[in-house]
Amino acid sequence: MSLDLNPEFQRNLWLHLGWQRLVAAATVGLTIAYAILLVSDFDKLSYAANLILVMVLGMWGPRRAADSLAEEVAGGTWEAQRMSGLSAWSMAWGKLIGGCSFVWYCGLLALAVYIFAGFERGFPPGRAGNFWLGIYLVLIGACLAHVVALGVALIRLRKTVQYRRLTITLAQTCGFVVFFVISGIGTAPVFNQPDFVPGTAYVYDSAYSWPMVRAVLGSVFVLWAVAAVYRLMRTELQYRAWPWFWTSFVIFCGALAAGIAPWPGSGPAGATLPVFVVMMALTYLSALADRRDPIRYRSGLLALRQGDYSRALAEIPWWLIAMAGTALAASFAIYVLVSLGSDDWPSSLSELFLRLRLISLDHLAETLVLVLLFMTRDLAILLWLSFGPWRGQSDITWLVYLALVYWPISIIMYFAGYGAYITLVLPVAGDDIVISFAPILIQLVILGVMLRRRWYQATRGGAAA
Amino acid sequence: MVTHLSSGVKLLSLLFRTGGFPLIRMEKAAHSEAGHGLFRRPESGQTDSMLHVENLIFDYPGHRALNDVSLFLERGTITALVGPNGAGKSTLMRLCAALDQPFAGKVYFDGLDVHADPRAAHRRMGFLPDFFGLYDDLTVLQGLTYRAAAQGVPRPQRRSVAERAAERLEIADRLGQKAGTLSRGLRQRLAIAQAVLHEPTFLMLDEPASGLDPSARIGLSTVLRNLARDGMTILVSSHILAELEDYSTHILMLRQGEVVDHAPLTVMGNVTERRVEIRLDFARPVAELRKRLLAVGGIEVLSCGIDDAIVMSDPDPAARADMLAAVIAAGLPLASFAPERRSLQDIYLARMKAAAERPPLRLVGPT
Repeated sequence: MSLDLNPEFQRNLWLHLGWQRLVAAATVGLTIAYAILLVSDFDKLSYAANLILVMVLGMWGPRRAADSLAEEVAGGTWEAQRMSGLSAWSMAWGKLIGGCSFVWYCGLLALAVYIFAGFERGFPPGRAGNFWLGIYLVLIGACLAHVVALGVALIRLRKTVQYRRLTITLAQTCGFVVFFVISGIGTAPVFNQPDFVPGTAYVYDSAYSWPMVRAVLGSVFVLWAVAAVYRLMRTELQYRAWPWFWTSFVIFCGALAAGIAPWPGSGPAGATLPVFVVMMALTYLSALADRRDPIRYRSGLLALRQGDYSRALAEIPWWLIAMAGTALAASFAIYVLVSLGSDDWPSSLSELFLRLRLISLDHLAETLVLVLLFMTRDLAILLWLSFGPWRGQSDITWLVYLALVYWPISIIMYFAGYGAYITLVLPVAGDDIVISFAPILIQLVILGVMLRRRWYQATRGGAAA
Repeated sequence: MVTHLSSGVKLLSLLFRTGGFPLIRMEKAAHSEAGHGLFRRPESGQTDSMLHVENLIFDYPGHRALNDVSLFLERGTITALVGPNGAGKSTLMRLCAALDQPFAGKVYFDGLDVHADPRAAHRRMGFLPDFFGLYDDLTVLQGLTYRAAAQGVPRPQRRSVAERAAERLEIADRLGQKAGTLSRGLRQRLAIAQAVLHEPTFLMLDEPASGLDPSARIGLSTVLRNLARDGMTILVSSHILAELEDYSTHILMLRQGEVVDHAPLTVMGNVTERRVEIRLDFARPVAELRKRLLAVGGIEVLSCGIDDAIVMSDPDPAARADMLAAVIAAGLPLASFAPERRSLQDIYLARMKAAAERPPLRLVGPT
């Protein structure tokens, strides 16, 4: 019985794994390895193989993964594929593995050379503390990098089919960052640190080596990322996108942030802040990733008004879920602050705040409320940009706005001696509650009016929501 | 608020029955809560429709692309989708293909809600967008085989299915050639072959003739006629009206996101609103022809020469038979009596002009 391959995988194999390419890659790779051995030793061969692994799996792989989708869109074959009978799952893994098949072929060649060199050197532990764990980190990091790159490309595709190069570069960068974090480029002796002692991580007060934690987290995040790509692909096929997956991911991230505490043994107080920060990061990221289509929002509102809750749920913006998580985390943090008082916070955390100097330990609860208000303002600005005539540039405009508001302006104000008014641009509560809260509240009111006007302009063509 | 229509006021009902042509009924409905006219949903079993579009609305921010579009496409017809740029033709096709989600409304393909189960619809329909692409580095056979596999054709049958599609589109002699090396016309044929390879019952083509030379266009017309003869229902959008006239059975006109008209081409070609234009040719010049025709009674003369005239008639065949008998009885040397066919371009321009001058009338459906 012949093997019935996934058509998308098969097509990619046709395109990328021609026998000429296979032979050429093997010939070039082995020639380089042999040349290195001739002029040097197995240490240098291991070094070179590791470098090639990073370049091939960590840098080229994410680019290929993103391009497997982007080239379909640019080539005009994407619509035909969306009209085919292929399932979302077949499309996802067919692109992920098939689109990167030549990358994996080259990477596995480099890996074989690396293992061979490792064998000759007695399998040195490297930065992971274990030779084989190091290899696993590279492989799982590469898998995660490729999936993340495809996911970023899918998200970008939902927003715009233009700027193909920008999309690919962004996806590649995200993939490489993920590869960097999970694999640890220096797992093998790229930076010639074979005697490196891995650090210790505390997960729910239990101690593990960081490489092991990265291996487990990398594996778990690969599963999340694959599921996310599958969900995004389903959305491309116009299936309803229920919010359960994203909600589960938000909860998972919250639990993870609470578990991997930077201040071990600090109890709920130490766990609160990381959860809040992670939720906030998810809110900003999901807002950036969302299409922010006013028509879709109106459709959701209309469904809600009509009592069509399933459709309303399917249309709910993801950032709203993360924002709810942020509000919950902030509420819990404020409760902890009120019940414990800031004196009972972990000393290392208190020291951090003292070092920052801007944040008063006496007003941490107020500061958290301010952070929520500032986040609301930022999101309102993003929506205002997205509902306007230049919605195509809303992402980049918003990022520039964030960079300007939170960095140079606040620094200039601080060093110019206007630290008392820093609350105009930074969510830092001071002694005067009016000066702390009035500016942001005024900003929110003005933005509310502006946003409302933009909303009506964007949706005036249709029924009122 | 946009809802499915629960009530509507019937303003106008035009019945055209010419030689068994389907009935077209047009209604203007009461305003919905949203302030948009909606049209009565046909009763079940009223039509043998392949595609049923119901109160479709699609918005872009600040702009309504499709406004409450309702229509039916009958099985085995070739419908020409025409309209000015920005009328919503491509948007309508993409919604029918479940490539985009409407703001409101439904699209039923052979009874199946395409947005509820897009993949089930895709297995039985084909779509060639205006900007189509091919895998240039794959051979024609590989491209067709891939498409067959992607459409769920069992592995043992893929090659034969691919070869049959290639034969159908007359590219069987190019199976070993890479798609990137094909001419524009052949690429078009390959793209259509991929779209029809799985024997869809419904095919949509968006501007299939753009960029084709005249001979390739003629070839395309032949291909489409052959596909329709094989039982495929086709919706084709094009700006080349003369070409559409060659093979279309129906015409669907869109303007500013609304249906202006939808009827069989043969009906639309000689019917103006309630009446049919009849051309009379006489065996020899007739003195005072107009006066003699008017004397027959019940005849409205639109134009008159010395040996021909165009008159208006009721679309009822019995009325036309009476008119014919009356003209002969008046002793006029009648040589021919036939409905006057106007070119698609004339019809299109007249309908668009009329649509610009009046509130749009929308199709409810043929019976």
